[in-house]
Amino acid sequence: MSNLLSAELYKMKKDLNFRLMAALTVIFTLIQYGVNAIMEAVLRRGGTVGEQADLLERLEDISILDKLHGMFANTNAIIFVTIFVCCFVINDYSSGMVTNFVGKGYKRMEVFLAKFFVVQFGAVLLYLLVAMETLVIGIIFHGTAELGAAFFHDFVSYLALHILYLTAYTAVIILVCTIARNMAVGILISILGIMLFSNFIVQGMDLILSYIGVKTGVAQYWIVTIIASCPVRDIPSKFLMSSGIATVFWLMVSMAAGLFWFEKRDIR
Amino acid sequence: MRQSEASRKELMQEYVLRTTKLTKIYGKHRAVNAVDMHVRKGEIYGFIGKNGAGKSTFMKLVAGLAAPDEGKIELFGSYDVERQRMRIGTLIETPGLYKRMSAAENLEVLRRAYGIPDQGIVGEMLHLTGLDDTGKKKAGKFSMGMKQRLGIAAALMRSPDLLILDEPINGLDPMGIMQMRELLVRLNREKNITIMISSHILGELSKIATAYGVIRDGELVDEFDAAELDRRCRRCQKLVVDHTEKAVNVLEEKLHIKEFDVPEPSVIRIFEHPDDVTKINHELLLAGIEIKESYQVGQDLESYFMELTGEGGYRHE
Repeated sequence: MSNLLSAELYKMKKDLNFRLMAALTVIFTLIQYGVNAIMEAVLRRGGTVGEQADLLERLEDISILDKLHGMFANTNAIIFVTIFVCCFVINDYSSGMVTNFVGKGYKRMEVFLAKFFVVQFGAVLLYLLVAMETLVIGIIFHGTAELGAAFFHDFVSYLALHILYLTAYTAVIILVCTIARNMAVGILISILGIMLFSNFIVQGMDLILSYIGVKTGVAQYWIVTIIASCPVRDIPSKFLMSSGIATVFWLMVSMAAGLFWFEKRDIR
Repeated sequence: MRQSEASRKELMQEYVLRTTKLTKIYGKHRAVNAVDMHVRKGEIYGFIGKNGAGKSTFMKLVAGLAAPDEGKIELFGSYDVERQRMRIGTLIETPGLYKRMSAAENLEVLRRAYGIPDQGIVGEMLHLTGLDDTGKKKAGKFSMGMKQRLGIAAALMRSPDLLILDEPINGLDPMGIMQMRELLVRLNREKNITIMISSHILGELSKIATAYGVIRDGELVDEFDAAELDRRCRRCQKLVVDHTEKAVNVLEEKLHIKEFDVPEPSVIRIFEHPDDVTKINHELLLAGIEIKESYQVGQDLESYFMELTGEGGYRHE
């Protein structure tokens, strides 16, 4: 298992997609702050009365923590993670490299888990990178005025929670890619089906069920909904509890299903 | 008792691969149907069959990429195939390579995965397969021959005792085919690696194989060694005549010859009494048949293989 982990880590180190996604997070974060700064400058030049003044005020109120929330909750950071996971997992099937690992004295479970853990590690690295970029670029644009003990407490709590949710989300994407084994199909389902529209699907399901008198509230336990709805500050303990249980559920179910699929399916 | 046990073990060890009624079913289709295969230590085993006959599926079953529905696999005298598979190197269908990595980086991934402490193995394998001058060139930019050789280098990383190669000379130019042939013979002779190889280029296969297995519609229809193949590809008398049907009648009714075939219109191959050419020609001329050509040939391997795999023409026997 340690040999397989070492090989997977080496692959990630050499993976162009990982480096590309990391670079894109920097560019994207810069754009986010840059657009805000440009808008503020334009609004200031236009005057400070009426609607423009309100908008300017709201823009000036956006803190580093709000930016981090924007990056994590609005699928901005998660799209880079999704593309990295899809490419890393499916590449082994499309390149045929998986045949060099399976049936070579290792159990299939070991082959799957080695990849699973390294992909999780890569996803967490990307999230940490986004958080650091948001902080550093935020300091450049906003200064250090808002930095204090309370800020760092909220920042670290929020980041830790999102890393926890990320593991479950990544497990779901790994499952999709393990089943799809095709780059186009894997990315399409992951981005459209999971990342963008799954929220609407589960909320729609809740709505339909409520019409027939069944109140399920499934949507609040779906991992993508949890990621989008996690509060930045003063996180209620009820949310912490329910999101924690849901995260563990999705993580374990996706891992077990992926493992089962990988164990049983032939490598073609 | 102890002696018989020892000799039994010795006999068992003679086979590196033995399958019993190995079967793989996809839906209603039996891709591999009750195959009993025997590959002996030190052999170069040519695995022959047309497209879709079940060669790749069989190889995948042995390599552990697919699970059999019925039957058993015995590797190196043991049924603990998962463990024994460590002793197999495989190249099935296309070589598994990361296109954005160099040859050395591709092999480094495998060195780590296989837990080989000697870092020099990467250079060694590149040298063995003639890829040591590829430098940082990405595998995606390699020629077909280079990719196949890198695939073989990957398969050789753990010094396997059995090498399973599925169509390794597909898409290679004549020079590439020759280099591949030399490499395989060298691996077999110098490193004592047993090789199972499938190929469509049957003439090429016959230059290196020491044993053969023929698969047709998922069933292993025949197994024989190179000496047996020589015996089977015997001489025949080839005639080119103006009236084939009339000539066939003469052969059957006047000369009582039963073993002949008509591979093309106006061409007859007589496998029975090929030395009795004067008598045959005489009778045909008497019947008013013009003999345009008459000469002796040995049946070429390609047509013999075609016949075995079910791709050949009709043959009277």
